[in-house]
Parts: sequence; C-alpha cells; structure tokens
Amino acid sequence: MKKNLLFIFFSVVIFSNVHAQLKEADYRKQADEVRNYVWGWKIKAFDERNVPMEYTKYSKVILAKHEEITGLTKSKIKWIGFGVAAQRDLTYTHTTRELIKINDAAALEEYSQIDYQKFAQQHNDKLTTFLGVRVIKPDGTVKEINPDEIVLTDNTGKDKKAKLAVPDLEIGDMIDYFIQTVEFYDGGSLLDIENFVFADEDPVFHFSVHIEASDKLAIEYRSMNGAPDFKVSHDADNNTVMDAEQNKIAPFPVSLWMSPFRQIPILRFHMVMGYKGVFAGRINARKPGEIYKDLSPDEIVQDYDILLKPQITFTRQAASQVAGEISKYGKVYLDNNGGGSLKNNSPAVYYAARHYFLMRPDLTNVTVVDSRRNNISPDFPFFLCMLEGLFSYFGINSQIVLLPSKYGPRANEVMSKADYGLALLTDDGHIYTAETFYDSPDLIPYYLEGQQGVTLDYSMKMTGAKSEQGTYTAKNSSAIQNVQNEDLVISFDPAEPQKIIVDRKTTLSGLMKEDAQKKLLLYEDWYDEERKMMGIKNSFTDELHDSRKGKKIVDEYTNAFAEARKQWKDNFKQEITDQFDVIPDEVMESKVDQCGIFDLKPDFIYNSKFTVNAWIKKAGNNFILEAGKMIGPQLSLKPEQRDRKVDVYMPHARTLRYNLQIPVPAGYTAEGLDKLNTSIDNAQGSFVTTAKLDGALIKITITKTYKTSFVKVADWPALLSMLDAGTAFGDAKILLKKS
Amino acid sequence: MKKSFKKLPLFFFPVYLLPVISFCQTESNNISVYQKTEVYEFVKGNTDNPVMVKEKVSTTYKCNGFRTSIPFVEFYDDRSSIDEVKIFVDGNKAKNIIPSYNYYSVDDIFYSDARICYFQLPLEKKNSVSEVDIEKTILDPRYFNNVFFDEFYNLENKQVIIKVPNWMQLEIKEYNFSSSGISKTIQQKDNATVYIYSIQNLAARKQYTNAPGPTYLYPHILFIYQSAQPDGLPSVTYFKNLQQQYNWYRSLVIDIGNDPAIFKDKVNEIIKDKKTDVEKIQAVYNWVQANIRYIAFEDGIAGFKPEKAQEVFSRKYGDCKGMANLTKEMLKAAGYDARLCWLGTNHIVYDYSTPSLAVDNHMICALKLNGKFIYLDATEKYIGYGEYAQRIQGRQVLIEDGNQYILDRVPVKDNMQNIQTQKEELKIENGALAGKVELNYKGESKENMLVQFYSITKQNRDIALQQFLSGNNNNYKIQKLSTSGLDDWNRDLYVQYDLQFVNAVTEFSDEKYIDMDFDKDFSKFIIDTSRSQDYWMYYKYNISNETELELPDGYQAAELPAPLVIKNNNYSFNLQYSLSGNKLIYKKQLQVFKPIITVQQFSNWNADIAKLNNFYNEQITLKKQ
Repeated sequence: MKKNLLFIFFSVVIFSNVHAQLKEADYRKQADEVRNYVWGWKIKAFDERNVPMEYTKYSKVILAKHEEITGLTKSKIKWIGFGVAAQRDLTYTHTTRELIKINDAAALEEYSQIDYQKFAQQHNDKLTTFLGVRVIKPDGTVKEINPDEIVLTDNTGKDKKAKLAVPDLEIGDMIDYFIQTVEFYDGGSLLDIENFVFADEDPVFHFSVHIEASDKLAIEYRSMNGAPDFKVSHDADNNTVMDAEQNKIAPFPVSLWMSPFRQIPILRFHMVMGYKGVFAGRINARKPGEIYKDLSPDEIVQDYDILLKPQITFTRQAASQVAGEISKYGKVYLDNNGGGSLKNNSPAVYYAARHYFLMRPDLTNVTVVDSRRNNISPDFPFFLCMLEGLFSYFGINSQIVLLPSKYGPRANEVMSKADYGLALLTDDGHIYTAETFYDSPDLIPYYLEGQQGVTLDYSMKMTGAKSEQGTYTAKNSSAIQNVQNEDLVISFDPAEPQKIIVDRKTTLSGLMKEDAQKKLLLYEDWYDEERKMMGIKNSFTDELHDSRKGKKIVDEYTNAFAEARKQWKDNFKQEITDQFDVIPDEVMESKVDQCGIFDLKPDFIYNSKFTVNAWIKKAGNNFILEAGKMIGPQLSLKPEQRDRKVDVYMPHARTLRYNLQIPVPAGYTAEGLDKLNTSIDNAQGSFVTTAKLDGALIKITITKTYKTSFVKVADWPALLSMLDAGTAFGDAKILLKKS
Repeated sequence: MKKSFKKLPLFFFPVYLLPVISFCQTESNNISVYQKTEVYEFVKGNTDNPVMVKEKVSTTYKCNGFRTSIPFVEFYDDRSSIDEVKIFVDGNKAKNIIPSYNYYSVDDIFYSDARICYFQLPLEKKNSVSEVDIEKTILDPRYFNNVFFDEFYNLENKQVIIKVPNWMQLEIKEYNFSSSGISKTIQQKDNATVYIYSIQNLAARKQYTNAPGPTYLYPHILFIYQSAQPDGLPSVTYFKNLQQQYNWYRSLVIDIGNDPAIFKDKVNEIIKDKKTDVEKIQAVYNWVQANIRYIAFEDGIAGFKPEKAQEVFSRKYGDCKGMANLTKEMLKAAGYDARLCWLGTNHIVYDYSTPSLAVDNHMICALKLNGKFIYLDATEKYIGYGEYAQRIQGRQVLIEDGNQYILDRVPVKDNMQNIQTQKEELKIENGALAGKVELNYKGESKENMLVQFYSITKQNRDIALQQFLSGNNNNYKIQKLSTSGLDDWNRDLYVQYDLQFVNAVTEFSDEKYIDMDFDKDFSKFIIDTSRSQDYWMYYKYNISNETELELPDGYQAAELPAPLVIKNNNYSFNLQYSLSGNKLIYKKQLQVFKPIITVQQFSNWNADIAKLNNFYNEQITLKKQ
C-alpha cells in the first residue's frame, strides 16, 4: 500500500507543477518507472500461458485483467482572488492491465492499434497517460514494445494525442498491455463513477480490482447483480485499501431487451473528495476516510436537492419576471380551448411557458428550421425549474420528481445524480418532463415508466428554497395508450402489377410518437399548429412583414423553410423504407395532418401515398399477394436470442394495428383469406388477425400487442409465441385467381 | 482513459436554446462562391528547397438564401505551411474567429502528416459576403501536382493564376475542361509566363458512392515539372520524362537497407515442403497476405519510400510500399526475380504518359517467372495467386529494372475470375423446399466473402454465415453446413448445406405456388437517375445459379414463365425455366462484363433491372394432375 501511494507521490512531484508543460525527458523517465511498477505486479494470473483447448473457439480469451485506482490528495494554501483558502490537490490514477490471448483476426484487429490522449491540460488540471505493451509469442518469448514506435498525432503544449500500431502481434500470440492515466486536479475535483463489469462476451479467467485512497478521500461503492464485493482494509497511515476479484467468468453475451445495470454483474465505485469542515452539512459532504458501502439513495437525493435549491431560488424569482408574458399566452390558450383560469390548469401554464421559452421563433435571427430542430432537447433542469417557478406563481403547487431509468440502477441502488431523470409533478394531477420541444403533459419518457422515485416539494423561505421529500411511482403506460395505427389501401392494376399504389394514413399515440416526430416534423408545420392552438392569430411572418428589417428576416426564413422541406421529403421516403423494408419508387404525396404536440390533439397523424414494386407475384394468369409483407417486417429473433435466461426489459407496452384494404381487380377472385384469421393471446402479448371479403374489397386487420414492458424470464415463452405468430404472418399470402 | 476530463458543472445556467443554422452545403444554392482568386507563383527558395510555390487564395462566399455558417478547411502538411489567414465577415475583419490547427485523421490511414486549418465562417444575412484570404508556402513543387477548379459550393467567378518564371520549365495539362466554361489566357510579364484561367458558373462538387475518382470528373490542371534554374541556386531536374520519375523512385528504394538475413530462415520454412516454383511463390505471397497487417502511413518522404523489409517482417505490419518490399525481398530470398512496382489504381485518371507524383498511389510486387510478370498485391488479403482486384486490372505498372524501368499493364481479367455459383437440388416436403445446396466462390466474390467472414469474432462466425446464407429468414433452416477454402484463398470457397425452407410452398386448393429464387440478386440495384456520375461496381460480377426441383407425385408444372434474356456489351441477364422429366430446372446467370454503368446507361440499366424484377415476381404453379 505504502509503496503505491509513494509511487503516485513521486508522479505528483513531476506532474503537479502547474506552470510546467509536459517535458518529454521527464515523461520518458516516468514512463519507465510506471512500466517497471506495473510489470512488477505480483498477480499470478498474468503469468498464465496455457489456454485450454475449449477456449480456442472464442475470438479472444482474457486470461487476466486488473484495474488499480489510487487517489492521493495534497493540502495547500491557495490565493483565490479575495483571500487565501485551504485546498487539496487530487491525483487520481487509474491503471488497467489485461493479458489477452488473440485467437482470430477480429481480436487481432481490435488490439493491433491503440489510440490515447498522451497529455492534456485544461487550466491547471492535467491528464497524462502511460502505456506499456508486451507481445508474448507462443514459444513464451516476450517482446516489449519500444516507446519509439508510438507516434504523436496532435502535439501541442496542452494536447498530445498518440497512436501505437502494436508490432509483431499475430493470431496465436498473447498481448499483455496496460494503460495508466494520471489525472491531476488543482484544488480537487468531482470524479466520475467507475463501473467494473464482471462480464464479457469472451471468457475471463481472472479479473481483480485494487483501490488505494488517502485518508482524505471518501469511497462509495456498491456490488450489483452478483458482482464480487470489496474486501476493505486500512494501512498503517489509515489510508483505505480495497480489493475485489473473481475467477473463471463465463462468457456473457448481451441479448435483446436487456437492462445492463440491473442484469450484469457490476461493481460500482466512486472516489470523492472528503470534507468535514463547517459547511459539511450544507453540501452533504462525504467524510474523509469514510467508506460508504451501499450508500443510501437518500444521500443522492440530498445531493440533488443541494444542486436544485439555488436553481429553484433563481427560477422562482425569474418566473415572476416573465409571468406577465406567460399569463398573456396562457389566457389566450385557455380562451381558445374551452376557457378556465391558469390557477387550475397546469397544462395551460406549461404550453404558455413552452411557447415562450422554446417554440416561438427568434425574430432577430434565423434559427434552425430543418429536422435537426426536432432533436434538440430543452435545457431540462432549467426549463423544469422555471416551470416549477411559474406553477408556483400561478398558485399550482408542484414537486420535482427524481426518477431512475429502468436501464440504469434500481431505485434503491442509485449512486449518482446522473442516475436520475427529472420530472415535475403538479397537484392538479399532471406530470411534465422536458425531453423534446413537443412533449405533452403526462407523457413521460419510456425509460422512467414504472420507476419508484422521490419528490422534492420546494417552498421559499427567507434563506432560500427549502424542500420536503416524498415518494412517487411513475405509472406504466398501457398498450392502449401507445398505438401505431396504419390504415393502408393497397391497390394495383393487373396490367401493371409492378406498380403497387399505397395510400397510407398513420396515427401514432403516446410513446409511439417521438421517433416519428423527430423524423417527420418540420418546424414550419409545428410552429403553425402550435401558434394556432395557442390562439395567436398572426404568424411571425405576418407580424414582421411590415417593417423593412422584418421583411428581410421573413425572406430568409422563407428560404430556410423551403430548404428544410426539400430535406423533409427525403425523410418521408426514408421513413417509408424503414417501415416497410422496401424503397418506394415514387412518393406522390406526404403530409403531416396533426403534429401531436398538445394533449387536446394528442396523436401524431400523417399521410403518404407512394408506389412500390413489391408484394405481388405473378403466377400464370393469377396473382399471389404477399399480405404478410404489406405491414413491413416483423421482429424475427435470431436462434441464439430464443433461448433466453434473463428477464425482458422492453421500452414500453404498445399496440401495432394495421387495417389493410385491397380492392380485388375486376375479373379476379380472392382465395386463401380463411388462412389469415389467426389469434394468439396471452398475458404478455397478442397477435390477432382477421381477413374477410367485403364486396370487392379484401379487408385485413392485424393487431400486435405487447401488453407490458417488463416480462419475467419465466414468461418469455408466452411472449415468444406472440412474436413467432407475428413472424409467421410474414408468410401470409392471398391468391387472386383469374375468373 | 474514458473519463471526461473536465470538472462537472456545479450549477445550471439558463441557456436560450435556439442555435443558428450551421451545416455543410446540400444541394441548395444557399451559399455560393461569389469570387475566388487563386495565385500560384513559383519562386526562388533556398539551398534545401531551391524552388517553392507561394499560394495566395482569396475566397468570397455569398449568402443567397438564409444566414448560416459554414466550415472552412485548408489542408497543409510537413511539406507546406499556412503563412497567413485573414477572415472578413461582411467587410469587417473577424478578429474573434480563431482558426484551429489540427491533425487530420483519415479513415484507413494510421498516420499521415496531413493537418487542417479549420474554423466556422459565418454568413450573417442574405446577400452578405464573407471572405477568407489564405497564404501558403509549398516547399517543393514535386508535391504540388494539380489544381482543381470546382468548389464544394456553386461557383460564380474564379480565376486561377499560375506565375511561372522563365527559369522554371513545366508543362500544364488540362483535364475535364469540356463544357465547363473555362477560358485561358497566357501572358508574358516580369520574366515570367502567366497562365490565367477564368471560370464562371461551375456547379458544386457532388460526392456519390461508387463513383470515379475526382481526377476523372472535375476540371483541373496537372503540372508536369521538368527543370528549374533559380538564380544563384543549383539547378533542379524534375520529371522531364518517365525515366526521370523512375530515377527519383529508384533513388528512394535503392538504399532502403533491406537485410534478408533476418527473414531468410522464415522463407526457408515457408517453402520447405513446396515443390514447384508456383507453389513456393504462392506460399510466400500468402504468408505476407496472412501475417502482415495493412497499416497505412503517409508521412513526408516516408509516403514514397518503402520501409525496410526486415522492419515490416518483424513488426508484422506495413503500408502498401512496405508490404510490396517485403514480398519482393522474401521472394528474392527464395531465389526468384521479384521487383517493386509503382502504379496508380483505377481511382486515378492519369497514367505514366504524364510523369508526376500524382500518377500513382500504390505499390505492389512483380514476380518474373518463365519470362512473364505476375503481380502480387499483398494488401488484398484474401485474393488468390494470379487473381487481380478490379482496382488494379489494366493499370500501367512501372516495374524496377536496374537503372531502367519496364512499363507494363496488370492483366485485365474477365468475369470468369469472379464467378460465384449456386447449385440446389430440391424437392417439396410438407410445404417446405428441402434438399442440398452447394455454393462456390472465386476471385473477388470469394475475397468479398472472406473479408466479411474474418471480420467476425470466431464464436459468432457460424451464426453469421448462416444468417448470411438464409438472408436472416428463420424459415430458411440450414443443417450440416460445411465449408472448404476458408483458410486457403488460392482455392475456391465452397459452402454446402442441407436446406429445409419452411413455408416456401404456398398451397391454394389443388395448386402449389413456389418462388424459385430466394436470393433475387440485383433486384434492388436501381440507380438514381438524378445521379450525375457513372456508377462503378466493385468488380465484374458473374453469378450463376441452377436449381433442380423434383416435382411431387401427381403434380405438373403449369405454364412456365417466359425466359428473360438481356445481353449487351456491358452485361447480360439470362434466366429461364425448363422441364426435364419430373424435374423443374431454373437457371440464372447474371454477368457483368464492364463494371461501369455510365450516366447515359442508367435508364437502360434500370429498365433491365425492372425486367429482372418482373421475372423474379413470377411464381411457378404446380397443378394436380
């Protein structure tokens, strides 16, 4: 222990001189020392040279992997502008070493080149990386890489990037390499969480982690999903020493619909600057030298609370300054949509705030109006805090909700503020998030659904914002709420069977909307719909047209709109291709009927008309209609995905509904419709199809329902049977027989 | 390493989220190059670099539709420098725009000396202009070979001025000038010849996939330097003719410092069990292909000078020059007459009739056996001995021959080199097509398969191969899969398996309907007719399939689809059904003779693909007797 921290101490001596840039001679000397140090690790697994025959079937075998993290602090007195203050510099060193048997060309390619940031400096903070590589030939010969093989790509005083093409590495060799990063933080820093994953697609013989931290640092950690636990001890100087290891880790292929943080063994670790001064309580500081195993989520909530309080204090004040404008927009919205007062109507306040902060055009500049506009997220903590302030101003109490993602750690396992998503819950029964520009009330992102969260109810006191905690569990939306409905009229002329005309109306509700909105909405369209719903009679182009300067802006916007619409037509074509897995020959019409950005007009509705050369086969004088392909490809599981051993984390429950109408050409009769009536219905999902002839019209309905987003592995066969029914329908055919 | 090296923000700050438009040029005319002047002047240098090129470029961009900002990029490298950058926005010097100077990372190149000067250039409103003035110095004209006249934006006016002092002898060759609205004047001024090219209204450069290289497409000039005698400095001889270019190349390779002793034992080990010359040469060539990783370096003179053979041998990686040099030296160590060759791949329009460093971009090895040259390109990892990639077929090769050179061409292979065949013997069992399938790949079709196969991790290869063969169709069930030739690309690649294609037969009443073609090759090969550049296929395809279907007892085939026969000088499609006893036989042959579809041929090609699809859309009907 002592040895490591002493080693790091000498590193700090070299690299903590805040005025010095990297001197190559110093770097080389230090790199030699680092190599001697790492190669000298007494870890038996790195001496392993035999790989059992059964492992030759894998691309690579990780014979040994070891990660070492050391944290060292050094106190100093620093001038901070208006006086001196005691500070601690932090040196955080992370070394990863692996011994890998290369079994194929893919692994050779993976390890044949190493790119890294050799040195970087931001202000007085520095990062330095050291690399060591050894190639071990099958006869046991060890060849260490000469540092001169490394080339610098960027080589400025504060930015050095390097590359190494590993020489003499061949299939059948072993590579024993390490990368050590030394991060020096002048006055300390917040550090990222480390996730040690005890799983890999290839077999791992040995994986160990070693931590050493000075007694001025606090440690947080949690072992999840069967990962090994740390053994904790202290050295004579009371520095913290932690070790974890596991041997013979079987390959763990990642499959469809998984939640890695809830299903893969991970040891999460976080080093924190300790503090026990007079402000410790105020900033919820972690105590120096303390080890927080399985830290209570309450601490993270408190961390978030401390972060949000000044924000809330600011936005409460800021809200009062914009409340007049919000009130104006809100009232007009209400007048146009059934009346009422803002006090009882958080959606009206939300829409007014959304319009004011996010939707209304910039009248002094020309902003992004093409589809990239749809991918911009609002600055969500600020926007939600501002919304909280506005709700408060208009007498609607609301609470910030911290919700973990279902693809992140469980609610009782969160370790970081980043593990939480943010929402705003109002007393009038609505919940708001700020994922996109066109969010509607009560539509929360799929990854927050069903999660158990914490509420923070803020009130303003003389000293600033105060909060009260509560709990909240986000609802799971149902398959009925998240629907993709496709009305398809598919027609063709027997004289021209290669030209199939598809008249399509798509209606998307709930969580089925977002992806399509991002692809197909245009600012020009949603600005207009939003403006009209908000009761704003004149468009900004009408308003600006009267002034000379305004006319110029309008002219530029008009040009930008035209340009954006050109791109948008390509987006529509691509969406058709993605949905049906055929490239349309011609898209004759495409139009968005409703943007789906208000709860009063919740669905995203669009139309398109296009031609394809697909789905119809000629058989003599008859035609075979590939009805099963007319709804696009259905999920078809790969053989290795069918034998599932872990629970299923799907995004959300959903319904996919297709209503096909196919006119039977004159002189033809339809056969085989009876085979298209199928039904699989169980607790996890259903796949139901009906087909009938209505006069000269074939009518087929297909409804595929994923009833829930989470399926226990024991119930996987039920879901599988539904999926298989969908896949099988892909082969459904109808015969149009010449009379 | 992966840590984001920055402190996390402690507070959130309100941000008004309305970014200004900033993206590269699309097909629009929102931004145009309103005026551009490029002046290239050959000037007296110093003892190390007797002749330099001073480049002054002034570009004025105009906003035609709506305000935006555009990326401005200027390249330089170890042999050139950017001396000054001036930026003006709407007539005012833009002091707040600071260019960044960075390493330029190019895909597939491990390291190069290419650098970029980069910044975002705002165009503040419609009809506004922004101007960038750049001054560069190129240290040696040898590395300054061509000047393109087009831009990435529509060009309104441009002048390219070349000032050649009388002490400098060069030739200027013009390419792709037809219908480009380019005029030229030549003046004598201040003891120099001044070439002035004026260009008006030239459309923006467009980039398509599978397109010819830019030297085929865009108007440009190529400099062929002969000699220079700058006052007070030694005279310089460039490439008056190919011999002089060869002499320069030869000077780079003659003293590489190869030491065959380092790999002599390895060569002996590789060839020890081989009996014939061809077997020995193949063995050495294949060893280099299999064991030397291609890693590209383009770094100053090292971009032209091969690495020592023993260095490539011991490192197990090299670029094309290093791999060619090692191949040559190993073959020499085995007792063969092996030579280095320079060539330009089909990416370049030039040939050695215009001696210049722009002419070639590749090196390979030539092996003289029985008086004939065989070309060995070890960068083509999975191509067999005697097989040639499309990119080098027919290209001139400059072969070393002592102080002289030999100019030859890589043989042009017809599409038989790349034939891929499929033979199926099937019958109908419980609504499924069942039977045996055999696939055979040669040449570039084999190389294509092997490149993909070996990029997949070992444990996933079988699954990936099955997915490829089945087209990800779970109904296409493969059993008893066997392969040969995966490890020896001098042989054909064979794949055999038993097939159970469930639901492949559709039954209505007493009739069975069968789709006899599962692969439908080329069915999606429609070319966008708005494309303005020829389409270059990867290689000359030659696909030959034959399927025999045993008719079930009591059934006979109804009227068979009419055959599809299309044949022209560039390609042929021949698909037909026939009956032989109780067997239905389907034969398909798709051949490409010339792997280039010109713009003029797009409509015919698409029409023929439509006919092909119509044929594919015809099903076979089996009727109960």
